[in-house]
Amino acid sequence: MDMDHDKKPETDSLAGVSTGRRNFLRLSGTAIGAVATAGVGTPVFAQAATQMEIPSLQLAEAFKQSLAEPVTDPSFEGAGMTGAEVFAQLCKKENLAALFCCPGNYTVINALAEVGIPAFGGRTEGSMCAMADGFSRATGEVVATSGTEGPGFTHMIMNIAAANAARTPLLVLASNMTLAGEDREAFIQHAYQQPTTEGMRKYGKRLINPSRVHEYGATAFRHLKSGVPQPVHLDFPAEVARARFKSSSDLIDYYDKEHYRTESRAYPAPTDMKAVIKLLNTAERPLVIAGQGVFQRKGWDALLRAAEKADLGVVTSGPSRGFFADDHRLSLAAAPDALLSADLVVFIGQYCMPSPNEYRVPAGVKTVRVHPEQDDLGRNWPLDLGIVSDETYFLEELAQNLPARKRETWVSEIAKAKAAFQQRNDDLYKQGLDNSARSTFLHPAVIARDFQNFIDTHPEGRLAIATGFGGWTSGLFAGRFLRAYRPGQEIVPPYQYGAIGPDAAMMMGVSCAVQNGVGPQAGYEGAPTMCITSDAGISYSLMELDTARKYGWPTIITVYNNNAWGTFPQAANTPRASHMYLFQENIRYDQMAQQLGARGEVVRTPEEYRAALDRAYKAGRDEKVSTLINCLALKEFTASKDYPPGVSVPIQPGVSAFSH
Amino acid sequence: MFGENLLDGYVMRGVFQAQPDKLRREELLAWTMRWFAGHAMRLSVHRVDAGHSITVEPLLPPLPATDPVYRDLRSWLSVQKSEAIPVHRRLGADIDVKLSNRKGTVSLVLTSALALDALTDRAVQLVNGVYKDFLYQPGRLTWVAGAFQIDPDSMVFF
Repeated sequence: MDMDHDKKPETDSLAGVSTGRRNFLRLSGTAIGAVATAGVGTPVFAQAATQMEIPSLQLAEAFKQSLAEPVTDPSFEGAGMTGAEVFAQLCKKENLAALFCCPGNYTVINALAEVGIPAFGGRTEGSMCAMADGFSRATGEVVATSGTEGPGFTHMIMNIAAANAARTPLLVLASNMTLAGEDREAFIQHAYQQPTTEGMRKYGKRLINPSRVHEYGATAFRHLKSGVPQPVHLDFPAEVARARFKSSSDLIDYYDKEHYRTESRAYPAPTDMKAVIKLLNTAERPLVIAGQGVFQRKGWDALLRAAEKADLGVVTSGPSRGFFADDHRLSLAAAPDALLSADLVVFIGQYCMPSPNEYRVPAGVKTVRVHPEQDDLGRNWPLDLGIVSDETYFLEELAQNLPARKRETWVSEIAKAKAAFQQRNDDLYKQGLDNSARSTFLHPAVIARDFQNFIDTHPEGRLAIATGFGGWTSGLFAGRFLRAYRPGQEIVPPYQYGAIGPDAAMMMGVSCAVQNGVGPQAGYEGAPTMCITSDAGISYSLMELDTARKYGWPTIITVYNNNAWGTFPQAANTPRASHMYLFQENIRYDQMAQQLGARGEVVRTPEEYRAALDRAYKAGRDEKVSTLINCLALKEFTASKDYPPGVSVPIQPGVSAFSH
Repeated sequence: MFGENLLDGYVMRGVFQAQPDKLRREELLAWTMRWFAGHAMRLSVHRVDAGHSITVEPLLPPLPATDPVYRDLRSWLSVQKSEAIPVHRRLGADIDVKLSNRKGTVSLVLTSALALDALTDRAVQLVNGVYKDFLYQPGRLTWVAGAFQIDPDSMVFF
C-alpha cells in the first residue's frame, strides 16, 4: 500500500489560493487577553502561544512507524498464546481480508493487527462498520469490524443491520467486559450484545469457555464462508481474550480449516438442468436475473458465456453492480421497457427475494430460481422450477450444455429499450439543466449525469473509478444515471436496508479495496472512488475523511446540499411539522472537509461542478487526497410542483434499484 | 361454471389475491382483487355482441378527470396501441380499450372477440403495465405516495 502521507492538500478552491499546511489553531490577541484576565494563563504562556504555530493535519511519526512494524506469528512457546492470539491466528489462516474498527476490544484488535490482518482504525464505530461493508460489497471478501464494549458496539448497529440486509460476510467483533462482572453492572459499558444483533446476523455467540475460542472462531468462518453469507457476531469477555494457552491440547477442536469446514457446494441435478434448458429453449425472451450470489461466487465469466451462447437477456440485482456490464448488448439494466417483455425469468443467486409485483416483469411470468440452499426456494415468489445449486456451478453447466441460439428479435428489443431509457434520461438532464439555470442551483439530474459522464469520457476512469450513491433525492436521481462495466465497479450503499448516511464511509472502504487491489479491484490501484450523497447523509460519515486521508484512500464525495431531509414533502400538508425536516442553510461541508485533511469545493453551476470533478480526480490520483464537492441545491427539486419532474419511483431490477 | 378459474393462474403465481364477487346486472363473471399496494379492484366480465368486455375498477385510487396524472394516463394508454410497443405486448386492432372516469373512479374496459382467457391476460398485463410502467415514469413518486397513502421510503407494490 502506498502511504504517501507527506503530501498535503494544496488548493483551497473556495478562496482560490494555496493554503499548504494549515494552521487553524491560532490564538488571537483577544482570546489570549480573555485567558489572562480569567487568571488561567500566565504572561509567559500567552507570549508562547502567540508565537507558537501548531501545525495541523499532520500524521504522527508513531502512525507511520506502526504501519512499518513487522508482522508477528504467535506461538505456544514461552509465554504462550492468548485467546485473542489464537483467534487472530485462525483469522490469518482464513485470509480475513481486513479489519475496520475503533479502539476498544483492545486485546482482539491488537492481536489481529499483530498477525498481519490489514487493520484500520477510524473515528466512529458505525462508519468503520460501514467501511468494512463497503469493502466487502466491492470485493466479495470476508471482512471484520470491531468496536469498544457497549457504546462502540451499539454505535455499529445501523450498519450491522445494513450489512445483514446486503448479505455481507461481515465478522462483527466486540469485547464484552468480563464474565466476572456479569449481572453486577460492574464499572461501565456493559451490554447484552447477542440479543442486540438478533435478527441481523447469521450466527452469534458470546464466548464463555476460553478453551473453546478456536472452536467458535472456526464456527464463525464456517458460517461466513458457507451458503448464503450474512454477518456473524462474536463477543469476547476478557477472560476469553486474555486467557493464556501453552499448548494446543489446552484448546478444544484445534484443527485446520480443511477439517472444520468444506469447500464442497451443491451441483445442479441433471434432471434440473434438463428442465431449465427445456424452458430456456422454448422461451423467446428469456431473462436471467443475476443476484449477489453470482458476484459472491465470482460467477461472472460463466454468466457471460451462458448469456452470449444463447442470447439470454441479463439484469443484475443486489448491493454490488457491474458483474454483467451495463453496456453489454444483452444487459437490461438500463433497458427497463424490455423487462416487461420477458417470457421466462431465471433468478440465479438472488439472496433477497422480492415479491412478484416488486419487480418489473409480466404478471405471472414463468419463473425458475437457482439458489444454494433449498429452504429459501419458493419464498415470496412462486416458482415453476426451483434448483438447489451453487451459482457458479450452475452457470458453468448452463454455459456448457445450453444449445447455442440467436434471438435477434429479443436483442433488438433490448437495444430499443436501452435507447428509449437513454432518451428519457437525456430529457431528464435537459430539464435539470433548465431548472439549474432558472434557479441558479444545481439540480440532482445534472449532478448525476455529469458525474457519470465524467467517468465515461475520462481516458483512465471508465473502468477504473468505482462508484456508489446514496441520499434520498440525490440517490433517486443518481441511480438512473450511474453505470458499472466491471465486477465491483459500483456498490449500492442504501441497498435493502435504506440507511441514509453510511454511503460515504462505505465508499472509503471501497477506496481501501481499490488502492490495495483486492479481488476484482486488482488492476485499478491508484484510481479514486467517487460517490454521490446528500447533506443528510454526509453527517454520518464526514469525520472519516480523517481516516481516508491517513490511510491514503482517495474518495471524491459529491454532496447534494439542499438544506433538508429529502423527504421534506411529507410535511407539505402539516406546516407545523416542516421545521423538523430542515437544516441551517448553506452549511459549508467543504470547509469541514478541508479541516479534516481533504480538499473542499463549493459549486452551484454545472460548469463549476465539472471542473471540480476534474480537479478532485487529479488530486485523488496524484496525491491520494479526498475531495468533498459541496453542490448547492434547492429542496424544492424533490417535488414536481415548481421544478418538474421531481423524484421517480426507482425501477427494479436495474440501474436505479436499491432493494432486492 | 364457465370461466370460474379464469384468474387462478395469476393467484397461484402470487400476482394478486382474488375471490369471486356477487354478480351485478348483466355480468357474466366478477372477482374482487387485492393487487398493488393492497389496492382493491373489481374485475368483471360482460358478454357483448363482439365477444366479451372486461372491466377493471377502480384502476387507481381516486383520480379526478381534471388531474394531470389522469391526462398522462390517457396518453400512456394510447401509446400501448402504437408501434412504440413491441408487437407481443402491443394492444392490437382486435382489442378496443376505453378509459372512463366517473367522479374520480377510473375504469378500464377492454372489449374483444378474442377468447376470454386471452382477453383476460391482456387486461391483467395492461393493469400490470399501469402499475409497473406508468407509475414509474419520471416524477411520479410524490403522487404515488400520496394517492396510495404510503410513506415514500416504504414504496412497496406487492
